[in-house]
Amino acid sequence: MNLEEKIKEIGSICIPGMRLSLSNKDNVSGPGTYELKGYIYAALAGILKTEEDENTKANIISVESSRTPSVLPNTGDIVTAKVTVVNPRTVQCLILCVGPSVLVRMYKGILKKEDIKATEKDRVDPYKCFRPGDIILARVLPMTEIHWYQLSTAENELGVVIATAEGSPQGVSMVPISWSEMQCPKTLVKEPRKVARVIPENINQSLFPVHSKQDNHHTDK
Amino acid sequence: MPLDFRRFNGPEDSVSYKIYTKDYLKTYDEQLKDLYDENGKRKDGRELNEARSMCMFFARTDMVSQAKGSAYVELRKTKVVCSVFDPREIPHQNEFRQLGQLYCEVKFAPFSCPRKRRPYVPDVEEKALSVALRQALEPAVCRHFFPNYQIDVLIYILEHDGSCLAAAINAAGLALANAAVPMFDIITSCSVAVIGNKMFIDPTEIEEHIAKNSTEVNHGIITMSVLSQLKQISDFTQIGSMDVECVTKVMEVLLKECEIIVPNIQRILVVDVVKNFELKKHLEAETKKREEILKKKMDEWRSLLNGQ
Repeated sequence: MNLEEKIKEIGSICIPGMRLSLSNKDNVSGPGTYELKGYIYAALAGILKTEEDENTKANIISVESSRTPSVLPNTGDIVTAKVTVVNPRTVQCLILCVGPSVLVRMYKGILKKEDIKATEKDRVDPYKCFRPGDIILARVLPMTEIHWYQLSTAENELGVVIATAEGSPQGVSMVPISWSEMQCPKTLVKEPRKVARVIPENINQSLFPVHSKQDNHHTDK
Repeated sequence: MPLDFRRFNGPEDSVSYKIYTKDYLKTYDEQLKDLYDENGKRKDGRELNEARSMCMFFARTDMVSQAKGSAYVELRKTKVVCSVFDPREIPHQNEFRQLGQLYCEVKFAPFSCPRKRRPYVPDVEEKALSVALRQALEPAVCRHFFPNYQIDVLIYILEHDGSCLAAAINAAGLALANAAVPMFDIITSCSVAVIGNKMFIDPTEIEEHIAKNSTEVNHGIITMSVLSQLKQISDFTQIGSMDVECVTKVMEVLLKECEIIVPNIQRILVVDVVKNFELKKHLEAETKKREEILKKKMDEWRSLLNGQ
């Protein structure tokens, strides 16, 4: 049957409640599975995936579903969020993605003044680090409030990834020129931001390269 | 019954035309005899112990495009649609809870019941079904994955021909799996109507009506839902009065019946996974094609710029 051939091509399909394996040192339950009475069971309908963990050499058994699983951001995850309101004490944002998966519904996150930077926590001005409309990478802190996620950007790799300057045309994102400043390539306006260490893919730079001989593989410094 | 102001209501002392039909004037015994004929077959041709799950069962997922996950279950004439949405904040909640909640709402369409029209405002029966559905689904869903949030499970019954709660639980289980809500197991459900010493498995609406209004010693309806792989009963609902032997007999029958539905549900979920996989492959192929075209255009522009 055509269906059988397709199933063979995909691999092992799991449905919730299927027993996958024993749970011991060699087999660890990953996302999409749960552990009960010494066995690992599937929790989602999807495709079975086993990966080897480099540190412990154990198989991480997980079930990958084609839809984003209905899970919320967990403590310690890196999330992508869009800044909505900037106050002198807090920064409010909407969480768009958890890790690589895009969320269907945006959840509210809040960034306190003390959690924006790792150093000089008290003398930081949130308006100089974020502006409404910026896309930031942040880490989720343990939950204290019921419906808001506490976020933190107190690491070098976290902070603003995509930002547009005031008065610039839409779609033109700024290029970072230092860890605390960004510049718009069109209007050449400089604005202060807390920049993340990950360099964003800047499509303007590859379409209109400064040096004509270089190709578009010069995105990492 | 509150008046429906959007429709023309007749004069206040008007009654339904149904009280003048021959069916209404039958006595209880005549109605009971109507239910099954000499060979022991029921009105729709089934045996007394034959459920609709074998030949008259249809279900599919991805029925509602706006919902995260959805399912449609049809048991011959009973038709049920279920939609499941992503976790959202619980309104009016003040305390921190470790487990998430399920917000279940069962609604009958106004045209669904044969005996009367359903009002728009949820009435007592709908509220009771919503509570029963929630009790059945709570043991099946991994609620520790969404603390302080609730998942909406909305059921809309398009036609009521008996076994509504069982169909609703089956549909909700499928829709939750379709929406990638982590579950401990798939949930299946079935119901039985008892009238005297006769058991009608998967009753139709007429059988349910007579079972509820019967005056025999054992009468009533039992709905049971089972987590198949973990072999646990997640919910047991009984309407009516029955003695202990009757209840234990019915429970054994129901366990077997719920077991029979499981391969159907499994097949639907597998087909769903295959379909999504195919869709993903197709989308990836399309993106590759578009990226090729875009790359070609970019090379063209770059060479134009460099040439100038």
